[in-house]
Amino acid sequence: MIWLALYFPKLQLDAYLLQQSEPLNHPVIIVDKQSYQVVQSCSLAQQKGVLPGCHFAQACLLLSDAKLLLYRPEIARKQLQTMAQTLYQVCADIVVGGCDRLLLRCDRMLQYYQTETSLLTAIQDCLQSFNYQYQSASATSQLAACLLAQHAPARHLCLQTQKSSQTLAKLSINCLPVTAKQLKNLHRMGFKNIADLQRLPSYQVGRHLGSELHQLIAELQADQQLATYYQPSEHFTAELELMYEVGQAEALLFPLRRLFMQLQNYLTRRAVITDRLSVILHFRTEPAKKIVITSQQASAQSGLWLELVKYQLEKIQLTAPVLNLTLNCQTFITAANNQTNLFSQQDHHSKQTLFARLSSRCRQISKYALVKDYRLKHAYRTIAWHQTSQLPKNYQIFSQLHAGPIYLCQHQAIDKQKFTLLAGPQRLVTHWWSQEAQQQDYFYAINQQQQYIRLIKTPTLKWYQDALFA
Amino acid sequence: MNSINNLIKSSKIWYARQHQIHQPKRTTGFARLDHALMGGWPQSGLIELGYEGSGSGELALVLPSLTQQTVAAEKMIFMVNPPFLLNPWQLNEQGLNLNQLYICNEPEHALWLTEQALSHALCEAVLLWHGHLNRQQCRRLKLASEKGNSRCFWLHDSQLDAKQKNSEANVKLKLKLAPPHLLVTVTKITGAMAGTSLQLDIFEQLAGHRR
Repeated sequence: MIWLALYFPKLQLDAYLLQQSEPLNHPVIIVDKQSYQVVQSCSLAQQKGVLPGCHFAQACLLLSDAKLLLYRPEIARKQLQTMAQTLYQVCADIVVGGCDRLLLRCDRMLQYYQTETSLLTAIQDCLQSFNYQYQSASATSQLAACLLAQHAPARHLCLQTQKSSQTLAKLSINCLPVTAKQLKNLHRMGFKNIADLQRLPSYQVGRHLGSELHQLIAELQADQQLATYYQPSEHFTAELELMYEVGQAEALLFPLRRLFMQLQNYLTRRAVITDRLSVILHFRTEPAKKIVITSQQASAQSGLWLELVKYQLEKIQLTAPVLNLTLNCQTFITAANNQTNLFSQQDHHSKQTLFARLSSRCRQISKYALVKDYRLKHAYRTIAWHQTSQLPKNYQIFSQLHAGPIYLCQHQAIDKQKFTLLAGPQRLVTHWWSQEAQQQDYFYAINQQQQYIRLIKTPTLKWYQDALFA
Repeated sequence: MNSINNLIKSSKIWYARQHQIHQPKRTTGFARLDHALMGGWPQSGLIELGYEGSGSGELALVLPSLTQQTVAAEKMIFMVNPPFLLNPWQLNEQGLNLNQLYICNEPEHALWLTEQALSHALCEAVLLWHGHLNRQQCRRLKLASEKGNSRCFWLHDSQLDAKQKNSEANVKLKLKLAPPHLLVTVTKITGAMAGTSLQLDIFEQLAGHRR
């Protein structure tokens, strides 16, 4: 077995720094509230002597202007899950270890890649898209790979297990995940590095050092337990814990950009696109708010989705600050069905982009389609923007009847107004064969505002203004 | 005089009309109006049409430049917030392709939609019925139309002119119906002298029936 361990020493800190739109000019440290120790510190803090393991009080003395964050392992675990989701496309055997490491079993995956380099390049590409700091090492067991990645990382991603066993042997016993009491015992017995322990016959290890250490040393050689591999979900879900409370909807766009980039990578790797997704805003006490975004044009591009969500966020007024964001996508369309040729259908595609944007705000964009009917009210209908209409056969006959005024007024009864008649009457008698029989006399006139209008006189001698020329 | 000629030759001063000549134009469909507008509607920019009450011939003036013969098949025309229902049979009769024509009736998003549409490469023109627009709004529409190489016809009641003294539009016309004529006054045109007035007979067919 060949295990590649990826150790992320500053996962929570990196996640925080990536949420900042501008580089920070003050140090940031993350403190464990139980031990009061600094667990992660940025480069600025490290330059001033605040290293991981430093006591909180000492850090405060050294850094008066530091930004303090509480250590929250669940944030790191979520980030690991998201990375595992992406890495799953490259390597199917992934173990999520604790809150700072991922283990990739590479020996079985090598058969799918022509060379070891191509597998490692694919893994590296995935990791680069996240932009987190990481250390890596490979070994024949999970524990050995983890210890090496944490304490003696390789300069670059590699799968050299022979060299790693030599490096492992040189590691101090202080690196072993044992209790303080066990470590004290080992020091008392004169053990300095792991090689000293490995030289001891296994039956003597069990007798002198106890079963727990015996098991640990055995695990350094080879895996003793079955690994619990990561199982990806069927749908895309990405969460982002905001390191600060966001009270303005527009300020959510920057952190959302990161989630949409993850979605784009997810969709692109699977050669699918989507036309529907949802963003869930989580608050401290209020129930979560779900924003569903649909697009007329299915796409994987983060830019398009970010633009559409921007319009939705503009409409929202937040009643409480947002603490957490979730992006869900459950509808996938095969990209091959929607691919457009570089030289054809570009206009159509481009129109779809425009209408995807327009319809995110305006629901009432329509077109006209002509219908053959003698009554003007029924002689046309509105259709959706993406539908196409054809002119009816012999439409010229109806055109002679209906064409004329361009503005259609709601019938306004005319009472004691002066008009100058220009033409008329033109009598229209239709639908006498049905219950909707209609008889109207049309007159063309100029009103007192000097507008050209069309009037209707009904059989009951009532006059209405029907339409307006423009 | 020689010194002025020397300055002109060295391009240190220039004639205002030179700017107008270089701007591409689209015919209005009325020869006299084309002449008054130095060639027709500007290919891109904001065109302001002020009229005294709807139905003053504003559409009769605009629509001939948007017919199937003048607009490429893939282009789109938007009508935003028309004051009345439109008669599609008449639009078709005037030569517009109904498949190119999109109607939007959402006053709260009218300006946003207009800006988005204008800046799109496939938009030919937007006819926007809207009340007062401040200088910044006019400027944004103008920039969007220049970006998308499209025209924005802003149609409004000429009573607004009292509020808005200086227009940001490339062309501004004032329309007044005096049957059987339509009186058109060019109140602003970029790169040329404004103030030209002309009479157009747009309802001559109807007026011919006058008793």
